[in-house]
Amino acid sequence: MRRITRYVDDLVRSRRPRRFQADDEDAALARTAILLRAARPGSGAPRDEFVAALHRRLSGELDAGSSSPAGTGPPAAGQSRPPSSGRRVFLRTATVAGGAAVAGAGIDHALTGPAAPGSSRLDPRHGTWQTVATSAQLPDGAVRPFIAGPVIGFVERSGGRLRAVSGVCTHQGCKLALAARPARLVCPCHGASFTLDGAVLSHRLSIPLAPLAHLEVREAGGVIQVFAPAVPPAPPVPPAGSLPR
Amino acid sequence: MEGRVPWSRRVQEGPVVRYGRPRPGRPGPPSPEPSAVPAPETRLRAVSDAEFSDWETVYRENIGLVYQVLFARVGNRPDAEDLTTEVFLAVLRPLRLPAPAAAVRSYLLAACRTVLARYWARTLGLQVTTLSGDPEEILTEAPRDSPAPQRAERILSALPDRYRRILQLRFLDACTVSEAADAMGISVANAKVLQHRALRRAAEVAAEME
Repeated sequence: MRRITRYVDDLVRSRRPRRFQADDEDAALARTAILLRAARPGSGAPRDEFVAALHRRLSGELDAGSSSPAGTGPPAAGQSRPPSSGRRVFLRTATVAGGAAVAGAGIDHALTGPAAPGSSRLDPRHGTWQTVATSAQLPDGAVRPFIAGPVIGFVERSGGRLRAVSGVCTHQGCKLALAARPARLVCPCHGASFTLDGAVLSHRLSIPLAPLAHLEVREAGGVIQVFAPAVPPAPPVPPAGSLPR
Repeated sequence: MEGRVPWSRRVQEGPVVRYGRPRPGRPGPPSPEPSAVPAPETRLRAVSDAEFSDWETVYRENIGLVYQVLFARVGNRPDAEDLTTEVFLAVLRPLRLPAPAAAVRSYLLAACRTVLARYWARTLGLQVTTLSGDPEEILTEAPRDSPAPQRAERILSALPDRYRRILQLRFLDACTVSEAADAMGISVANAKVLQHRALRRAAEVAAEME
């Protein structure tokens, strides 16, 4: 009883459980505890740091073995590192585009801004109205994910009003998933959640989390459109040879 | 970075976009009440039915699924990460590519099964959880289609209120014992006892459901 209690406690607190010789009853309790623990929102997704570190470790090991079977040499992204680089290696790909202007940023991270609280609005200077759904596809109370140029997001019709928010977590730029009951946007990486209005609902981060950016949205001629940067973004440079002086 | 395919491209170009689909042979939970969320559009996950041509694609396309499958069976992150590492280390080197995606998934799943069996043998001494079933079904299930939350919900809903509450607070809401005790207006000692009893009852319910 005491050892299984400690085991369960470790699970709840996200620690590595200690080993012990279990009997059948312990196993049944452990199994149930695992089931319940795995149902905690966000717990099924690996940490970005882990995914990056293991990728590095694998490139190291596979490169060292070098006889890559069918000539599929992996790109030498992570020069052969010692295999024991372990889980502390950080590869902060997710935040690279953090402060970048929307138009030029990578798709996954287009809307990540500095994680400071305060509502934001995405008003690209060089945007176009882009159709993301037909009116019929979005009855009242419905939510739809969309991709408009470099922007991914969710559009909702609620009480006759249209609303569009970014679909990218303001923490590290992970794509949000739509969850039901109550309808909300959940980050698979660290479990943050947002309302469909973009407000932060919950998170377990030690830093403040910014709400999701809003996009302008309109309905015309049976389609729903959001205002987003066009793809490819217009080159900001003036035509060569201009500037006569 | 350059090895990564932006999500949207995967969705658009992936050969098949599958939505959360009914499992054959299982009636599933009673159809959810008409919610504000239209089911089909909510799951946009590309599942490649084609080939994996290089190890990075194998890794990128399967890391989340392998981790999830293992996490659902060990219930804690450090072990899930170690086992995931073990699986990819064991699988990627001998893998001959290109290979059909289905074959690679079966192979990954077989590795998960072995790694998991060894894990239980060395930790609790008996097979607490196993990995069985059709590889395609298990490894192509989108992360949020995982059966764990639904099963947990079914079990919880079959419990008396106080049992359900303490388990919810501790397991799902990640409360400490004292936070849970506060929330329920009981002492820490009582909360501990209550949690143990509730878990025992939940295990019985789970056994009945199988």
